[in-house]
Amino acid sequence: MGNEVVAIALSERDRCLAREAAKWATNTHQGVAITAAEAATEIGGSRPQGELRRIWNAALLNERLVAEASVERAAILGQLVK
Amino acid sequence: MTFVPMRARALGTQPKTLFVNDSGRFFAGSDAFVERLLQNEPSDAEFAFLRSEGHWLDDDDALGRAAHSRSVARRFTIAGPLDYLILVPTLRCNLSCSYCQVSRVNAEQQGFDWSEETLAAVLHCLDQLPAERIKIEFQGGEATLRPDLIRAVMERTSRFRERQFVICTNLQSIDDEVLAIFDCPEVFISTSLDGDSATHHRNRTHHSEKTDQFFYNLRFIVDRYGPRKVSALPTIDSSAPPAVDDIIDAYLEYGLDSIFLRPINYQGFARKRHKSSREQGAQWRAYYESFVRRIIERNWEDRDRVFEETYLSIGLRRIFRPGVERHVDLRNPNLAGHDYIVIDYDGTIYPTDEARMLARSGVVDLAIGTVQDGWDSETRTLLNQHATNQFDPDCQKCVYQPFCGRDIVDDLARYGRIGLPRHETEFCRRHMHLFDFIFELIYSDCPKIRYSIGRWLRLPTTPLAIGQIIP
Repeated sequence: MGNEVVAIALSERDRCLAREAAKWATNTHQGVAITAAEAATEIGGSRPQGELRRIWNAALLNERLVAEASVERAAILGQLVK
Repeated sequence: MTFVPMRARALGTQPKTLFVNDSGRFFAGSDAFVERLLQNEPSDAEFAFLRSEGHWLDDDDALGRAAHSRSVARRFTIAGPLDYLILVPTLRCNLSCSYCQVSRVNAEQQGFDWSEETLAAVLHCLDQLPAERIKIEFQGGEATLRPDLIRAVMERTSRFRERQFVICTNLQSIDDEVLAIFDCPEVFISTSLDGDSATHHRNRTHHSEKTDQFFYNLRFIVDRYGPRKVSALPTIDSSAPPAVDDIIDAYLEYGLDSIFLRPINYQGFARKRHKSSREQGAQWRAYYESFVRRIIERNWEDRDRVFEETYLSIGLRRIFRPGVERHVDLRNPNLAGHDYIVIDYDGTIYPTDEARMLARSGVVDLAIGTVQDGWDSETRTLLNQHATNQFDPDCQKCVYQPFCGRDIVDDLARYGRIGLPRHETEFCRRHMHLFDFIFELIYSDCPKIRYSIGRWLRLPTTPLAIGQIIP
C-alpha cells in the first residue's frame, strides 16, 4: 500500500488540543505522521484512509478525555496516596 | 454527568476504538460511536451502557465515585513483606553462553561463592523474615555447583508454612547430591531450552557432548518428576530466530506447555556480543505475533494440550485479574527492595536481577545494601521515587496505563538514564505492542482465538465474547 493522506478540518474547540493529539498519535502508531495546523489536520501513513481517520479521531478524543479528567484523576490519586 | 477518568486508542487492524477507564474496565466503540462522542451526541442506549458499566457517573453519585476509586486502588501493587529472594550462591558457571546476562566466571575460579560469613548472614536474614510463606530462586552462575549452600538455605526455611524453591540450572551435571535436592517436592527446576538441539548447541553448549548431556538430563528429570516440576525458557536471537514450529516441537517433546519467548536481554556479555538487542524492532514483534498465532492454531488442532506464551498470559492477567499477577517486571508501582531482593555471591543486595547484571557489567551500581548491614538505603529510596507510571506525562495519556508497569532498571540498562520520554523506550514500545496485540485478540471473532484465551485465563469454558462493544 502506498502512502495515504487524509485531511480533517478542526473545530474551534479542538484546535488547542490538536497539536498534542497529533504528537501523541504520531509517537505511538508506527508509520503514521500527523500534522496539526491551525484549522485542519493532515494524517499520513501507509495504512488505509479509514484506519488513519480512526487513529486521529481516537487520539483527539483521548486528548479531550485526558484534559477533562485531569482534575478528577489527580483528586482520586491524591486521596488514594493519603 | 461525566465520564470517569478514561482514555482511548484506535485498535490496529479492527474498525474499533478501545476505551479503558483508570480502573482497567474497558469496552470498544465503533467508528460511528466515536464520531458521536466527538460531537457530544451519544445515543440514550449508549449512555445507558456507559452508566451501567461504571464509565459514566452522575455528578452526585458519591457511591459510584467511591466504587471507581476502590477499583483504581485495586490496580495498585501493594508490596507485602519480603517473601521472595533471589539467591546467588556462586557466580561460577560451567557453560559460556554468548548472551550470558550476568558476566559469569569460569567454574574453576576461586572467590566467587558465598563465604562462611555471607552464608551466616543469609541464614540470619531468613530467620528475621515476618512472612509465613517464602519463595527462593537460586540463580547463578550455576547454582548447582554449590549444593551444600542450597541445602543449608532449604534447611533453614523449615519454619515457613509454605515454601517454594526454584533452582535455575543449565542441567549440565546432575550428581546424587543435586538429585537429592531436586527430589524435594517443594523444589522446581528452571532451565533454558533455546529450541532444537542445533540451536541450543550454537547458542549455549558449543560442544556436542555438552549438548547431548543437557538433552539427556532434561529427558531424565522430565521422566523422573513429570513436566510440572520443570520450566524452561528460550532466549531468541531476533536477528536469526529459529522456525516457530521448531521451538514449539522442542518444548512439546518434553511435555512443556509454557514458553516464555524472550529476545536476548541487553545485559552482561550480550551488551558487547549482541549489540542489536538494545532495541527490538518490527522484525521481533512480527515474529512474536506469528509465534502466538501458531500456538493458537496448534491449541485448536490438538485440544489435549494447551500451549501458552508466558508473557502474553501475564499481560492477560494484568487486564482481567488485577492483584493476582505478581510478575515483578510488570507491575505498578514497582517498589524496589521491599517484597523481593537479590542477594549476590558476595552478600551485596540488589533490587532486581537486572540491577545485579548492570553492576557486574560496570554500567551503574544499583546495590541497595548488603545482607550483613541491611538495605534500607538512600539508593532504595531514590529508586522508589520513580517506581510508578502514574505521573509520567506519556503514561497519563496511555490507554494501557492501568495494565502496564514501570521498570527503571531496564531504562538505565538500555539508555543510562530514566528521563527519556516513555514512548522512546523499549519498555514502552514492547508493552504498547503487547497490549495492542492482546486487545486485537480479545476483539477477534475467531473461535480459535477465543478458545485459547479462555484456556490462558483458566476459564472453564470458551466465552462467546470477551470484550464488550458499542456498535
